[in-house]
Amino acid sequence: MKKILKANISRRKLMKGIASVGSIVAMPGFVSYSQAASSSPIKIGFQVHRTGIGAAYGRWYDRTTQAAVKIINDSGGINGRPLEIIAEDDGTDPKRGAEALEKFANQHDCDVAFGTLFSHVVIGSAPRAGELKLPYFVVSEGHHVASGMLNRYTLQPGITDVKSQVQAMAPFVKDNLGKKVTMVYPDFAFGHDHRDYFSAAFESQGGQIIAKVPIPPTESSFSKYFPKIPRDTEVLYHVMVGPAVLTFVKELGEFYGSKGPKLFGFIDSVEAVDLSTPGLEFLDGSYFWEGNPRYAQANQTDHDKFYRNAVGVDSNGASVSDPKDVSTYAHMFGCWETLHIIKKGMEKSGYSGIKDRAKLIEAVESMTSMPLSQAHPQGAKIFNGKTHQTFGHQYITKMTNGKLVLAHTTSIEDTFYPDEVDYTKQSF
Amino acid sequence: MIFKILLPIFLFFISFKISHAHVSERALTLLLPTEYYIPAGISVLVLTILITYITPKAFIGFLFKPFEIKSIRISDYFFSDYIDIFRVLISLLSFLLLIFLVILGFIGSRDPLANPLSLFIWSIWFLIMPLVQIVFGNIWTFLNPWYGIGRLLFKNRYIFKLDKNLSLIFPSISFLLFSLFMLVDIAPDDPDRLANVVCIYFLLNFIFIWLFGMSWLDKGECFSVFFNMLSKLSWLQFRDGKAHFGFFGFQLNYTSYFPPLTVLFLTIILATLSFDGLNETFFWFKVIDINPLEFHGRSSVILENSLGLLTFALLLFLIFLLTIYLGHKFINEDVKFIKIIGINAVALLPIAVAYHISHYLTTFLVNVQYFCKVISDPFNNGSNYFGTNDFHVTTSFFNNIETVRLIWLIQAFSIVFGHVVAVLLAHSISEKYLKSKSSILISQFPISIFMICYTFLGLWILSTPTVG
Repeated sequence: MKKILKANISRRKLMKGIASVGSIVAMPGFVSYSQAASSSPIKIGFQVHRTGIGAAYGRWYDRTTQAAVKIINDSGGINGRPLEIIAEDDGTDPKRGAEALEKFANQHDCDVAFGTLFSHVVIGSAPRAGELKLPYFVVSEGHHVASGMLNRYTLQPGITDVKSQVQAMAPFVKDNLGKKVTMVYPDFAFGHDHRDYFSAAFESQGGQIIAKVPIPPTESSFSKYFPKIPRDTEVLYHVMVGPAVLTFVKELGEFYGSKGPKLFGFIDSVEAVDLSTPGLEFLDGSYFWEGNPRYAQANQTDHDKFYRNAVGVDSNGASVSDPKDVSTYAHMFGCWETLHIIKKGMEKSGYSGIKDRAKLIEAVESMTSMPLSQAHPQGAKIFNGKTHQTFGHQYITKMTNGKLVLAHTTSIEDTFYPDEVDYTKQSF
Repeated sequence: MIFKILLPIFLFFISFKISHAHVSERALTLLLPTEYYIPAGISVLVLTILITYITPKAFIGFLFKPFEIKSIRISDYFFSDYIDIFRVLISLLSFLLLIFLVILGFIGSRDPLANPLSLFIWSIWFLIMPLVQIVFGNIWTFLNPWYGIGRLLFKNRYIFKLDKNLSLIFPSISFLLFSLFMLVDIAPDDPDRLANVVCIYFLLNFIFIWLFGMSWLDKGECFSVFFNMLSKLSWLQFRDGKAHFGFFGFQLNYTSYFPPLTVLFLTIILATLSFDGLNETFFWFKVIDINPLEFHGRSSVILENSLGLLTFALLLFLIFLLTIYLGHKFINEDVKFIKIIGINAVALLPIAVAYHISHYLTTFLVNVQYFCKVISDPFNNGSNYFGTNDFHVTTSFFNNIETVRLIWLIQAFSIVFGHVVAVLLAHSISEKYLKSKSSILISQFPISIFMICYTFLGLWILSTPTVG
């Protein structure tokens, strides 16, 4: 078996070598690399959800990643070296995720690993990244990085975490929608995180959570839970996920008609879903958290325009090649921004190869302000090197005539919470 | 009403503790009025059953009557010797294609959706080949990658002779192992892993051809046996140099016996195709006590899904045996169970094909796009031979209620039509060896109930919440 594996690697290396000579000569950016002709590509191991429950996100994470790599390579790569993406499917499975990291480190000689979304895959893979001493840049939104449960090799510099997102919603909800909130959430860890983070933040703002309505995760009919929502509810905070989420919205609409409380939810419920779907008209007038607004807004920046164009997304957040193919726009910017941070970190540290991995991590840890730019089209960020977590603006949009229109942009400070770990104290 | 009656029956069957893909697609499916569609589908099946009951014996016989296409006579153009040479040549090309794909499995992209081997095996060959066999007849006999090389090296020699009645144990075991790889292994799509599995499978069967001769391909290699059986359902057949056509299964007019183990082989196939759908339902996650919204991937359900598949296959095997047994216990004709169980199992084939189409249609719609991309860049070096490499794969048909409805209806039609063919086929098979209409009716009653329950299972799997 070992022999087969060794033979595979040597064959692969041989073919890649032949292929890379051909492709570099054929690349439009050839002139840019000519000064560094002896440099091999910087290999980014892309841990991608190609199969399993994350596949719909994986497709857009892949498309954004490929677009970012093209932009970086077209502008000269990193330290004169081109980026090469080596994608391994993690099956949205933690065990498989850890195996993918092993392949990146031991078979493909990748410089860094990157790209994971689903929390359980990050949590299952990060210990292996630590053992392999492989910098692992995740794009997952999970609080697990900043909570201190991972290690110095795992960083989340390109996307904010759910704890900061949820707590940043509290001031807007209290000041604009109402002070009496009922929370409807799926009765497991994901829902509990929302319940705990939001209620703590909302009550500290002087608001009141008047009821918490947990829904069993396997529930597919919701009408029987709606009578549990108190009549004096001013705002209904909902974070339903899973295949029954549209049924939930439809039944909520049938229950309340036009007389219900104001609705506030996370876009995760309808990410990549066409909002003109019959039954969703009830959502008109409701508010959503969005990591990055799906629809191009009136105050759209040139950076967002550039980013949309590079990835191939239109002003409605759908693919330019198929206007009905709605992207995972609220999340996928994280791949673009993380790759640009890796570039900046490598340039800052003078990264030349695997031996400089620790220097790369230290360089990223030393980053603080990340201004709105082509590298950060979602908005400015402040990176906390101690917790390995970035903090940034959050967007609240209101569904108006079937489109999500920007209603509020939080400050970065709204998303801060006290540090829970200092990874810089851990040795490499 | 029928729906309400059938629900408890169905739940009774699956509450033995035997028994969830694209979130948005299933979310939209849940908005469809499937509570009306399902009874409508089952009503069609019940109507078909009633028609078979009340029409005279000659009606079903007429339905399966073969017709000769007189304008096509293969023998006018080809000598049979040339056909065999042609078969060896095509098979050798197929063998070379396989070697090429395996090499790409090892050296191509590590992304299974950009690697020609993974895409070809799972999304083209395994998904399309069964349908090719049904539509065009036994094309696999030409495409079979073992045939040419086997003929050249081993000619007609063999060391051991395969027993006609017992040999089906080999394809039964190997299809079960294939099913476990497909449904339980944590990364069957991984190009390296798949390339190794394909090599091992090819070599093992090559050794078996050396041991048992070329007849191993007809009796021992699971895909050849499966595809060969499927071709017997084809509406088109070339026999004695002449082309014939007829209703799916008309070729069974020329066959009156299948080995008893056919029932084991076909129940394993049907169980696999049914379980690969059932194992994604919230219902299944309830049974194995896992929160479907927190599903941690295949590695967290290896034991559960292995046992689930094996149990499902065993139960299906026993239920089908019992169905045929009960059907023949109360008739006044002398029938030997062991002689008729094999051919009766053939009625499971159209159901298997129906589940195959229904379950893999969505995968095919997406992955065929990736395949079109990869043929432009098989070596993953940025080439664009056919201009399709820049194409962006879309899944918008899963985000739109109208296309989701259309896909659902095609899937449901497949399930219902497969069962309708199965009912007619089962009836026609019983007419081969039973003399009186009353015996035929009695023999068909249990299998009619089985077909109704299995149609319900298929339509329910399409409509219930799933992970994905």
